[in-house]
Amino acid sequence: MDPFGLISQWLSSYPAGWERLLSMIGIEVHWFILQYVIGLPFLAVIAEAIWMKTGNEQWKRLSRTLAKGFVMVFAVGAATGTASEFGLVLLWPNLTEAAGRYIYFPLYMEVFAFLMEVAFIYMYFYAEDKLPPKVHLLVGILAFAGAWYSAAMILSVNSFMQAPVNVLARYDPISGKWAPPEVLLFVPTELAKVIDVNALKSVGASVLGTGDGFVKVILPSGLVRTLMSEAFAGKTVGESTLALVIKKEALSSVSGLPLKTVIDQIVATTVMNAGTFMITFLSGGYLATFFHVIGAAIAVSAFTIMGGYSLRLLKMPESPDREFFMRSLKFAAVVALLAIAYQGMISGHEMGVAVAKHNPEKFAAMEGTSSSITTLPSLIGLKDLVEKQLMPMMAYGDPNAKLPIYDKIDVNFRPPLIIHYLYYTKIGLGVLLGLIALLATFYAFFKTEVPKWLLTILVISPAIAQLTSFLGWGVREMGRKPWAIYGIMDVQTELTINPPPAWQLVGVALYLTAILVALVLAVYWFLWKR
Amino acid sequence: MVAPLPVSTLITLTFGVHIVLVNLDIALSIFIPWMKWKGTKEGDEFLVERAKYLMRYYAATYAVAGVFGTAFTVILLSFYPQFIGLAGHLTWVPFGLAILMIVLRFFSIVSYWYLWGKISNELHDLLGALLALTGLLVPLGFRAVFAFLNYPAGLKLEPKPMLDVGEALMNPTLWPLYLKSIFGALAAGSLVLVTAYGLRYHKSKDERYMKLVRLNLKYGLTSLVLMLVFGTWYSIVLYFTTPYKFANVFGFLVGMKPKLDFTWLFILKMVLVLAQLFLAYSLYSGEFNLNYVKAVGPLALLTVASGEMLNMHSQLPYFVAQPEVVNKLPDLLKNALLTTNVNSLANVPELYTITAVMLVPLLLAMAALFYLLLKD
Repeated sequence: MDPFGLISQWLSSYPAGWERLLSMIGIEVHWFILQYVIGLPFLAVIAEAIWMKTGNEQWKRLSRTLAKGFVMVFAVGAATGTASEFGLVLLWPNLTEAAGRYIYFPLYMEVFAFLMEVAFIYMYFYAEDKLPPKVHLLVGILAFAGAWYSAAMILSVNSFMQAPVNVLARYDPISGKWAPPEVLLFVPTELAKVIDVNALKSVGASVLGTGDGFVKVILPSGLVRTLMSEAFAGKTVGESTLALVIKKEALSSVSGLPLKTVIDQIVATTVMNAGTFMITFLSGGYLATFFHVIGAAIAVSAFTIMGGYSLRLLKMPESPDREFFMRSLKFAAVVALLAIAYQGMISGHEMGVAVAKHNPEKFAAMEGTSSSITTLPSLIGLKDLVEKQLMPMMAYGDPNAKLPIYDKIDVNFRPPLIIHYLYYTKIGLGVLLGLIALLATFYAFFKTEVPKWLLTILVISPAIAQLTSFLGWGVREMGRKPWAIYGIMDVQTELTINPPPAWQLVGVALYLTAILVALVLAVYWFLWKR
Repeated sequence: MVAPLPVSTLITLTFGVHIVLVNLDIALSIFIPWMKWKGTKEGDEFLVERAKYLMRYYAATYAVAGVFGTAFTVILLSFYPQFIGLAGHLTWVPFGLAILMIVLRFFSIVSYWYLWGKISNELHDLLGALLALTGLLVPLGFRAVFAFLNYPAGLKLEPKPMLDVGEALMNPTLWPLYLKSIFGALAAGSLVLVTAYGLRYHKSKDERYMKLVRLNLKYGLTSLVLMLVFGTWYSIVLYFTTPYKFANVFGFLVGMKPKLDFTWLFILKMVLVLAQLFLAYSLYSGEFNLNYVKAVGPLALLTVASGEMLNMHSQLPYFVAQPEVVNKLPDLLKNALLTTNVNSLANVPELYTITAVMLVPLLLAMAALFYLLLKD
């Protein structure tokens, strides 16, 4: 498959290509900014704490500069967040409705995170001279805690969409056998009474047992996907696939009911049994996701600080503030190095393990185990080593394990193969960032001067860090296809019934991109123009 | 009962804080660039300084307003997911326009604030004009949605639910509602500034503050009168298009039997408006009176709050204030449009307890923020 074919597979093999593209741009614009809201207050607080310990005013100055930066990005992040929120409601209203109905809790709790952020971020910046230093530091801690808390909530929703707790991936790494995922549902007893168990078995479902007011049933995800689609399309029970498993004598009494009402009862019972407040936090890979995202935000923020002060050193080599620039660069270099090392060796690894366990189809696409593409490891002659030894061992911790084979996965369950290239590009850029951070740390600590060539690289390093982070989300989100919620709802079902014309979607995407560019220019002017 | 008490309380609280701050925001986004432009043109450093000083509060006010706006929508989503889903299917254009303007607005706020003194005056004033323009355009998108909720002009149910945007923009309730809101916001903003500058004048006896007080009184009074004019127009249109809401607002005053009687709130709003007119006119035509100055700004904000609450609550329990239309819809659609149909997974005591525990300290923190901002 050539590059055009890969892009075409991603855009055209799944519904709503343009809508997905717009959502991707809108959310990326938000994420681009959000990383600074997560990372900068944390780093500002560390700088302030060092100032309190050492009394060196340069640390205070650095902390103040970072605070100036995050006050600005917080406001922009709030705007892009609102825009993203409305965008999701308008393009994917059925997904939004389902989220509001069943997994509202973390979204609801995020409201308090917003309040926390707005109160303490502004207090940290505007009330600095009106608060004692220790209280000011505490306000700073609450400011970044608010941002992290917000991230924890929204990431639980995203993790649920990737790997809901009741959806069971079916891949055995030892035998290498793949089967479609299955969904564990709690059917209310009253409803279960009208279901024909034999008919249910004939569609691949199984009954696990009963509990207080419910019957535990495992359904194939293909069937769940169909039922969800029919429910949101407004079909009645009689018009839907569910009619096939309803007892003949009961069909006439329920056939006129909206399917959505029946499905709602089943899903609501399932959610309550999993724990309404906890369900999203139990999603596969949630903690790994949270720590990986926090690490990414800190890394991007650190590279941006490094880039900023490198630019200063390049443009103003004789500045009286040179010592301050060097100190700030040194601080950012150490943070960047630690963050990248953590990302690659700890949280990145945990993420990979979680994907392998909960989303084997995505894992197969990431590793490109398909005869239709030339994988990046094979280009450098490492195909066997990577595919047969390294990755199975890292993912499953077993020398006998095998990677899932993309070509053996049912075509209706395959994610786009483009994510293989995005994933390995991300890994490559991550390694590059690690080397850059290592060099910067070395020169900042062991030499009196950082060479111009390195300063130039450092100036562009924030863009590389942002790209790496973007690719990470790209792999995660593009790899979620064909699902909106893995094993439960597909892309077509989440889409609005009134999709906008492509020119409007492209126009909005260009508009958002232009605003982002203008904002970056405004930030550049603000921070670096005298 | 139109909705469980905790739900209506939360919605009223978040929407109330949001809308009061948004009204201030609309006014300030016009006043600040204007003050800066006028001050620069006339070499009035004091005016430019005041504009810059106001911008500091404005940025914080705007962020708090935005956060409460988001809180309001998330609370709506949690308690009324079907309504939000339905709105999503129908309102790509009005909400889409609002989104585009929100993004542009943030850009204009951030660039205007942070590039102050760092770019040429002309370019900066251009950003100021953009700030003022987006201040007028963001509410247009949202008011289009509110107008739709009054009277669903442009709604087609066959072959599938959809919105005819041309018809929606010609909604008879849109323009009077929009204009009433804009002048209401300008009146509130001006009169809050009368209080702020009046207190400064009282403290410093600096005549330049008095000049600003008089200027804002002039704009405040004019805007208040225009708000009444457009408000009357809005009421007349409601009488013809949305009788359910009209009856709930005016009730016995016009000999109608309301389903939900909010006449008291209407009367309260009118009393507040008349009190403002009296205080503002007295200050404008007579001597400086500290008590009048102290009262006029808070009264203006209370007027905004009461007016918005009246507009919102008088159509309950219907999201679209047309009972005869809503009641004829298929069950799924009808349920999506009733405020009595609350998400059963969210309507639980545990959630309300968590809300109280989280909200109280955060509101206190918010109050501390404003205290610190206003503290000299």
